Amino acid sequence: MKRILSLLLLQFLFFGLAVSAQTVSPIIVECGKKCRGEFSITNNGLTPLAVSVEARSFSLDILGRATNRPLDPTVDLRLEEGSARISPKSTHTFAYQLKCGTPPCSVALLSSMVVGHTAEGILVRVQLAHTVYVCEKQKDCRKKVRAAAGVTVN
Amino acid sequence: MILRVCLCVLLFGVPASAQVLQLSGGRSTLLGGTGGEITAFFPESTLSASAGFANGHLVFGASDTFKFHGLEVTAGDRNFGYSFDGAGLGVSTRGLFVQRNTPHTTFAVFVGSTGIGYAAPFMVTAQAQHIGAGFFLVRHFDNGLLLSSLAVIDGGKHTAVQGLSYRSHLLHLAGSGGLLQNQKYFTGEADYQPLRNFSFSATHSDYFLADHLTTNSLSAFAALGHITLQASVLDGQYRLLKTAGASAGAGLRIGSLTVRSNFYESNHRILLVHVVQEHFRRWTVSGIVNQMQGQTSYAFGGGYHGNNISVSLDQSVLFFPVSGKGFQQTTTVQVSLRLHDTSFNFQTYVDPMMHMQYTTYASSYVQGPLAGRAMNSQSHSSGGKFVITGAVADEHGQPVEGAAIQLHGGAVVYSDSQGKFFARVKHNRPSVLVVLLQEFAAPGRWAVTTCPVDATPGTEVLIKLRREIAP
Repeated sequence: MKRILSLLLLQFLFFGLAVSAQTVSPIIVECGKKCRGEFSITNNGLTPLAVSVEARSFSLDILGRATNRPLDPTVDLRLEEGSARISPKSTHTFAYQLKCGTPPCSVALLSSMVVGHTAEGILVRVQLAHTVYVCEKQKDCRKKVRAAAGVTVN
Repeated sequence: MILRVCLCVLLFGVPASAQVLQLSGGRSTLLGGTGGEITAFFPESTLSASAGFANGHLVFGASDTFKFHGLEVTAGDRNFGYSFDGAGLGVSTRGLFVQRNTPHTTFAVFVGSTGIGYAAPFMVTAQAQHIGAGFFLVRHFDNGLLLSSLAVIDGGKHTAVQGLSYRSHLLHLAGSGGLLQNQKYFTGEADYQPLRNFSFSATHSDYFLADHLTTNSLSAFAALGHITLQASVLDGQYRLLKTAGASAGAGLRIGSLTVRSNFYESNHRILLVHVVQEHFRRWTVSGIVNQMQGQTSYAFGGGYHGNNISVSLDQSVLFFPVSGKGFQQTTTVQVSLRLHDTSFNFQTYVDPMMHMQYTTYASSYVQGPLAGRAMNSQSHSSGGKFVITGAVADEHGQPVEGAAIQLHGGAVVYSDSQGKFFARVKHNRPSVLVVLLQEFAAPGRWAVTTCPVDATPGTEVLIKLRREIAP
């Protein structure tokens, strides 16, 4: 943890201007069995940003904490793009289609981006998640998944 | 004179050492101006210079914004503008501006001169007309209350406005009032949402155009499954001209299809608008039927919203209290194009009298020598049903994240944390594959050990890299 904090501190010292909040929208979506959706990543910084997208299935513990794992074989995901270069102060939209063989499915689409590095190799990487809950019916899907996992907190 | 010298220094001296430059230029008949702006971003400060013509006069502006002991300081031109809940107020200033932000409080003061300013996406300037000074304070409280105060002495005119708002999950109340340049001013808004799908809203606003304009509105909204219902009454007074109007409508959404019918009444005229709208991925197509005084007309609208290009043609009905015309139909056309780090924007607005106003501008970011390595290639999806996949690994077999690979001389893709990448292509034939070392998001210096000349859809390519020791 200390090392990460040190890296972040160095990052702020050397690239104070480059570290602007990157945002993902929407954060959570609920779908029926077949899902067609999209999410947007906004580069609020002044330098171009390379973003790569990875998909993970995840499960929840009773405190609502997620544990990621490789994408379940019953999940059929078609991403239009796996990566993009986002210009300064602009937004890029990633479209996808997702089919869940055995609902419910919980999938996190993780957008990874390097927000700065030095010639010495100090790297700060940010991961933003767009979470998709897929059930037989769209309504209250997230609530059902959390209830099935025995999550006791909101 | 000193300001003009500063402007020249900014325009010609600063870009050479800036971290990032933003260049903007444009023209607007709607806002009445033509000009450009250059902004240089440094790690510790931001320098900006604008010049152009506004309403037939040569205008210019320059500013330097920097941090000083936790304060944000601007020397030069700045719009001293603040948003109260539901209303925005602004004063154009030329002088010294100091702002302090804490998690719950924003406090700002300025001293210098005030005057008529010009603000557009491509140019911000101020004209010195009066000696002025002022402050602004906004304080957030944990219980949802927000308190704001603005006080400005601007030549012989005084502004003193107090704002208060409260927000809970059922209720939102906001109001601000006082003196605005020696004139009485009040704006208020109340929103009540007793149920998740029902909401009510009431507003009162004062505006100061060539004369005093007052508007009031009362509206209700309900969403019942796939059906939406809305109703509103509005009135406005500008000089001695009073205008009143009412509208009601219903909408039905089935999948990607939306059907809406709206009724508008103002000045004893009734307008019926029926809209059928289809959303298909990034496309929208609308068919519109208008019925007014026994006459029926048809129109079409729609648009495409992609990552590099957006085009739209929209028709909407707006309430015009200034002209006393009540509800009127307007047409807007918008085109946005992004090429690399440059964006081009064009917007037209056709009012009910068929007068066309437009705003067009371009803005570009240029990476300076202090910004480090810049990624210069364009990344875009060519789409297609064929997929080229691959993996990038270092000399130890470890995946390399952030490696940049160009396919077919076009799209650039980046490897993920597993070192994997993919790209969609339209044709099932080999694509030339190039590793762009200068575009890497991965840290350090790299050299290519092995890389196939081309890649064919359906087969995974493996690229091996070697990390080079920095000299």
